[in-house]
Amino acid sequence: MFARAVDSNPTIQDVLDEVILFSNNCEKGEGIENAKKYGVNGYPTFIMVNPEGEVSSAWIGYPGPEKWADLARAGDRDRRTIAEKKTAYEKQATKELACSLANHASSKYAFTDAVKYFRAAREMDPAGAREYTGEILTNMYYGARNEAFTLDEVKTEADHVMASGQSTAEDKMNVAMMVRGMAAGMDQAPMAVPYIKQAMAASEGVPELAEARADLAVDHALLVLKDKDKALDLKRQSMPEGWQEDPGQLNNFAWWCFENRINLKEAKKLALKGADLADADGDKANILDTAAELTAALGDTEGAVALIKRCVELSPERDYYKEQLARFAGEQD
Amino acid sequence: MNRKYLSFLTGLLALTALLAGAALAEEPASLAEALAQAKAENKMVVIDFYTDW
Repeated sequence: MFARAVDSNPTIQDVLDEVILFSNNCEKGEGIENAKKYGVNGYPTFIMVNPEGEVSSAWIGYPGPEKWADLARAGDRDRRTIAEKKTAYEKQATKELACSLANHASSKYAFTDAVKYFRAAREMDPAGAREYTGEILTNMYYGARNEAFTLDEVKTEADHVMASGQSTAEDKMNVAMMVRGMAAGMDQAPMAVPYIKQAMAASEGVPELAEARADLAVDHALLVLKDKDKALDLKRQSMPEGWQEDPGQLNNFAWWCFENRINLKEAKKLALKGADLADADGDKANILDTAAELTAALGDTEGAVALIKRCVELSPERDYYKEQLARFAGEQD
Repeated sequence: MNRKYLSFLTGLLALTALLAGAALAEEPASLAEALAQAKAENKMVVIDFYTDW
C-alpha cells in the first residue's frame, strides 16, 4: 500500500522531497541484516535515522498518506535521537516528544510505555483526545496478549470513548470490537456487553458501518439477547459469498461453532469438508484439529484421537498436535 | 476506439511518465548509500522495512 502511495500520492511525494527514502526488503540480502540491526518487529515499520544511522523516530504500520506524512514531517522537524528525546522529555515534557516516544515504543512492542506516553500527550493536548485514546486502546489491544494491561484499565479507556462527545459511531464500533476481542481472550466475554449495546445503537442506519455491524450483531445475539439460534443465523448471514467451498472460511465457521458450543454436528461436517478441500498439509492439519475439538465436544473422544493422529502425521513438526493427542487420549481413559 | 481519442490518450500517458520521472528521484541502492546522501544533503533517511507478503 505504501509503495503504491509513493508512486502516486502527492502528499507523500512532497515529503519525499525533504527526506530520503530507503526501501528495505527484510527478507533479502543486506535487508535481513538491517532489520535485525534495528530490531524490527513487524511490517511495515518505518524508522527515521540521521546520517550516522541513529534512530530519531519510528512507527509501525502504514496509517494512510496524511498521517504518514504528518509522522515523517514531525520526525524531520525534531532530528534528535530517541535517547536525547527521552532526556529532554524528563526535563520538559511536550506533546510532540510524548507522541514521538509513544510511536517509537509501539514499534518496539513496548506497549506499556506507548500507553504511558500517549496518556501524557492526551493530558497536554485535550483537543486531540479522540486520536490519543484510539492509540491507547490499540496499544492495549496488542499488549493484552502479553497481559500487559488489566481489564479495568481497558474498561477505563473504553468508557472514555463511549462517554466522549468527540466519538463517532465508528469509534464506538472499533472500541466494542476491541473490547470484545480482549474480553474473550481473557475468558470474560460478558464484560463486552455494554460496549456492544452502545455500538449497535450508535451504528444503526449508518451505511458505511453495515458490514462491521453485521459482524457485531452475532455477538449481540450471543451475549446480549442470549439467543444461540439467532446468533447462528446471523453468523451464517455474515459469512462471505462462496464460504462453503473455501477451506479457511469453513474452518472459521466451524471454530466459531466450537467456541460457542453451537451447531456442533454440522460444524464437524463442515470442518471435515474444509480439511478435504485444503491443499497444504499444514492447512489440512489445522482444520482437522478443529474437527477433532468438535468431535471431542460431541462426546466421541475415540474419534477425536483418530483425527488428531492424522494432524500429527500431516504436521509432525508442530508440538501442539502432540499435546492435543495427549490431551484427548487422557480424556479417553 | 476513436483514433483522435487514442492519440490524445497516448500523449497523456507519455506526459504522465515524464512527470513521474521528473518527480521521483532514484532510490539509493543500499543503506550506506542512503546515509551518505543524507549527510551530503543534510537530510534524514526514512527506512521502510517491508516484506513481500
